[in-house]
Amino acid sequence: MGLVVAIAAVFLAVPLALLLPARRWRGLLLAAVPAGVFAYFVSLLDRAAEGRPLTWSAEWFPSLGVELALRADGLALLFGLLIAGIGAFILVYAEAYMAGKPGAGRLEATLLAFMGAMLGVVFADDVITLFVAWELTSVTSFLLISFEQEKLKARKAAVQALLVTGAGGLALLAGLVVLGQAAGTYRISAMSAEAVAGSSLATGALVLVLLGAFTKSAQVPFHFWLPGAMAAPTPVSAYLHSATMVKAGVYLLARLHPVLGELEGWRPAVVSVGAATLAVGAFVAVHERDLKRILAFTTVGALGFLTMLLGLGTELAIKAAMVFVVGHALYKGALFMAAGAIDHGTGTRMVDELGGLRRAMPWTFAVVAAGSVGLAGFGPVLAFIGKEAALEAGLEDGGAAGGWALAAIVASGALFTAAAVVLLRPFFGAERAPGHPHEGSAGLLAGPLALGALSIGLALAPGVIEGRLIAPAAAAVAGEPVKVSLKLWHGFNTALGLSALSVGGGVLLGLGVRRLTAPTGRLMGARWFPSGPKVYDWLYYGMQRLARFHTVWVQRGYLRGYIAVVLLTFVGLAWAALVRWGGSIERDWLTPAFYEAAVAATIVAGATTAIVHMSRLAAVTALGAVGFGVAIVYALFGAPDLALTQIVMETLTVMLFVLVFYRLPKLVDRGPMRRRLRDGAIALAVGVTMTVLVLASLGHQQGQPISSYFGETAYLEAFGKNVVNVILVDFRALDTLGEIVVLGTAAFGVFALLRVRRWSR
Amino acid sequence: MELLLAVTVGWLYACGLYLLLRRTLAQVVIGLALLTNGTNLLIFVAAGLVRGEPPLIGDGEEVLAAGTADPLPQALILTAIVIGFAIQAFAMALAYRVYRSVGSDDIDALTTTEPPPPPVAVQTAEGDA
Repeated sequence: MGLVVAIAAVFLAVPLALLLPARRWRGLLLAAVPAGVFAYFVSLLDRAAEGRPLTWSAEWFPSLGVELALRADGLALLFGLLIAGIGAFILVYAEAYMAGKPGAGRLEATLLAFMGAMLGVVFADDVITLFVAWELTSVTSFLLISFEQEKLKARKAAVQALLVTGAGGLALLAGLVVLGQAAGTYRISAMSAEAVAGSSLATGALVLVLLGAFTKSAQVPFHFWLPGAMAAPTPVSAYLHSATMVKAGVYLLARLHPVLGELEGWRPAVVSVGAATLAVGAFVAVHERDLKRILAFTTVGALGFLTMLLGLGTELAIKAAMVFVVGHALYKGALFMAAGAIDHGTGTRMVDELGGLRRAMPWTFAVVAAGSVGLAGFGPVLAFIGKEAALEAGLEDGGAAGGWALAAIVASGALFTAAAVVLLRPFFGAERAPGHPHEGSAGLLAGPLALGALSIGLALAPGVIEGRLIAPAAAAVAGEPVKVSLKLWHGFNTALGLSALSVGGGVLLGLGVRRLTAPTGRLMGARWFPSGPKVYDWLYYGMQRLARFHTVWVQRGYLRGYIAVVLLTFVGLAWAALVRWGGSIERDWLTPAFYEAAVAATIVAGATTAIVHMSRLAAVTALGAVGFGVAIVYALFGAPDLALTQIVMETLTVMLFVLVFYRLPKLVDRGPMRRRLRDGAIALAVGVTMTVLVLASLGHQQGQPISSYFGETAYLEAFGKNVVNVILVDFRALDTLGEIVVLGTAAFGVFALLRVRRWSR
Repeated sequence: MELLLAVTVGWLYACGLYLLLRRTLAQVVIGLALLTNGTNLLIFVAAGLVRGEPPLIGDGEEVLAAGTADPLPQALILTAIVIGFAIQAFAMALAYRVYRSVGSDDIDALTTTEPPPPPVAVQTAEGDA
């Protein structure tokens, strides 16, 4: 119950954020909500570590086996603590960042809504509950990226992020349902790897779930939306697009690792995508000049790093991933907030326009310095412990995947270090900035300083988290108890050597970064280079063009166009069915007498006259010939009742035609010859198809005809000898009543249409 | 005979649909009439032709003798003939009303759902001054 209250409290703070006046204490007051939630989560840690996590569930769709289910195990708590803890700092920061500008309340309210949704994702124990919260994070992310809605760039980036994560969300929904089918339950904690592995649905579930996770966590080739999302205000970037939401995909991989991790495709797919993302993110990061974009691409790289570790799936790799999740959230959150402070203090985020800020912005400098150490992954920071563990996991693995992982970590380590050097540049050299550089307010600095201090503090005293936080989380991912002992200093070993090597190279690279990256930067800037945003644009506008093309050609707005489409579709489907059926047409036909043939010829001649002659009299006469011809056919082949009815109705029809046609203008066949020929061809195709269908249906009975029932009971039960009449007035009397109603309705309609003198205006 | 009538059915369909694809209202109505007859004949022929043996129970017999025509399709067609007539009558009245209201029997002229508003005297800038 406590879990529901905690999540509900966050959602209930949303209207509060909208209603409270814009004062400095508003951020602090709102931050108290996640802070309280954070404290509550801390109190749950021991239960999770003892292996009896707090759970809660309520019926939702009992007939489908879907529940609202929550569960606070180690993994959920680790993410929950990050979400609530960093969220509290973000709210304080957001208040200072907006500095009383209109819309600050809206920003904080949306941040809180996102926070609640994100807590829903990590605590959900039912895949449908998880999915609903997952989609809610996509929606709130859309609202936050487009926060400055008057800017085209922000709107475009928001739509782009929504489309990419939304498409992934659809795949995820399908994947989760398939997974539930394979496992026989929608409860994540009740799923067994054996049941899933033994199901034929396993591969489908894996592919779909991975698509969802990869799009959300900005993995190659879906990574491009994340740098675009930097159009959001900096508090949003720091919170959603580095510390929490983008980690939802990583969280999902970790959450489902015990269920899907043993499947054959998991390791190659997840490791290769993660390694590629790590490499691409790190590589592009050194080419960027905008502080936020540098951070965005290094975030892409870090997400790839985490994905890769979960792909490896060894105990060491999982431990490394869990440590790095925390370490990365701390240093990256701090760096993002510092970037916002620099933007605030100087008026720009472009590193080339900045210099010598360390005197004007000493506190910000301290934060960036601590964050850069984290980014480089070398020094007394929590991320370093995670990275060392990852290197050891790669060394220990021995397989091809481990080798690739190792290479990716070492190479990207150098690039990350270079990026860190670039980040530090604005603080050295001669002082220069577009505006007058000044230090940020306490609100702007409190968050990044706290996160930066935590990043270092936890590295110096890892015992605080290793047993209570990391171990239960790693155990939840591994699916078995895991012992964790974290040490900052491991002594001189291979991992440290590799680390030192890559960092040393990175520093050199960072110092000469402008010259070294110039050629590759030109390459990536080339018009033909298929970068993510360009491919997205091609697809996006291509789809619009396709829709327009489709509309013009199919939805033309002419009745005859629609009729033609329906008819051609019918012909195609009918022939497809005939060909598949492949049966032969039986030919024990009656030999036509000459008068029978003459009647058929009359009908054909009448119909032909109706389409050829433009005289109204000829048309009516021709129609009469067709109608009476059909009546004679009925009479000849054992249907006197039909013949009588047909003659009566045909007489009435002809009279009506005569009456009406002389009030209509003369017939004209409109439209060019080309169109007439085309329509004729379509009509003829249908006619031929109908002929073949009639012949094919002759002599092919499916099942017992029910006519024999009527023949046997007409006299004995209904006391009539004319079976057709008995059917109409006795067996199917209600149908006949319906027929009379139709006739009556039509009569009223005709009367109304002819009586109305003019439409009321 | 089946072949002959099947071709007749096909031809009725072809002519009816050709007219349905025309732009002139009256032609569409004629097409509808041809389609109605074609469809009734289709059911009749597809059910199997029996010469001159209507589904009547003979004197002194209690059940329908074998070899007579199938009564069920006939009952269906009988209903269809009447309904078909109702539809044609309604379509004709509608065509007439459309022609009287719009003033054209060209389907492509039916581009609005309401009659055009009565002409209003155009106010010019000079008139205001």
